[in-house]
Amino acid sequence: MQALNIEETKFTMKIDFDPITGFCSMDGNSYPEDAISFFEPIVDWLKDYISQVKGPVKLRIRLNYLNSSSSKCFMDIFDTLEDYHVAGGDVFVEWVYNEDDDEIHDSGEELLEDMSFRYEFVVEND
Amino acid sequence: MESKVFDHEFFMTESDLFSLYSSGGLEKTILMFKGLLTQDILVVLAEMLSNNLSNDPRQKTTKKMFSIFVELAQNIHRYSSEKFMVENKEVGSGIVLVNEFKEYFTLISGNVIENSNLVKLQTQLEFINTLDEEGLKNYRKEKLKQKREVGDKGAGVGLIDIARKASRQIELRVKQLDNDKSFISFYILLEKEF
Repeated sequence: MQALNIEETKFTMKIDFDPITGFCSMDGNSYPEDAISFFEPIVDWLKDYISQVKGPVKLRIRLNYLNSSSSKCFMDIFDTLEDYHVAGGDVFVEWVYNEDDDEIHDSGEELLEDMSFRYEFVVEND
Repeated sequence: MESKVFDHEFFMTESDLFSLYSSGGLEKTILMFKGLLTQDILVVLAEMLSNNLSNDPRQKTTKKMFSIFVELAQNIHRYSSEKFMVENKEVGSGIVLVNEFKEYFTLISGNVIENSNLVKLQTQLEFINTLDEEGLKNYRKEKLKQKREVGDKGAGVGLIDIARKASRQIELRVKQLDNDKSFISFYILLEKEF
């Protein structure tokens, strides 16, 4: 299985998903004009990894800004990871936020609070 | 040959332009845009807005402003019925205006929509306007968990996110243009947080 790498733009995140270590990183801004199309290959990659590699998933998310349609796509990702966790998969999500950024912290909390897999909030200073 | 001298009749007067530029006195227009809201234009305008405010100690207000602006602009991009093809993509047209007052900002956006979509929008907004902070949070979560409607590229949470950041209820004004179309506009107020 191939790694997934997408370069960052002003309105989309840098994506680095590694099938060997299971380390996945999403970093930057997320307000694409069509969030579903942007997230589709990401969700597909995760589903393939879960069904083929069946390894651990360690997802690190570090956002400056996310729009409403991206929030829904993050929910799709977390639902996929939740199913994997319930089926016995090893899932860990790290939600990184800046200490001054309550909005990003709260967005993460609202997306993650109903999930049963392990997740952690990580504070970053400027 | 007919002379091509300048003719004032073709233009708005200079004072009209100045009053638009300085917009009265009480408020200061910090952004005004009418036209196709392509993603490129949206990004430039959003960055311009936050740069305009980021020297400000009111970081929180800047973030809220950025977010409300993006949601309004993406609403126009998606739901305006005046659509044009730009580089093989359909892009919606509309108008956005951001004014600064002493203690708050106003954001106004407008575009044309089909009357067939009007009732759904009005009903949704009326419902959102009845909700308090906790209600909005729960309704948003419900929307995030819902399956998407076919062809809908949004999440149906844009208005909820605007409502959660705005300092007052969102006002929707409707001007019916004909049997098929109406011009709608959203009025948002954002207080400066010190």
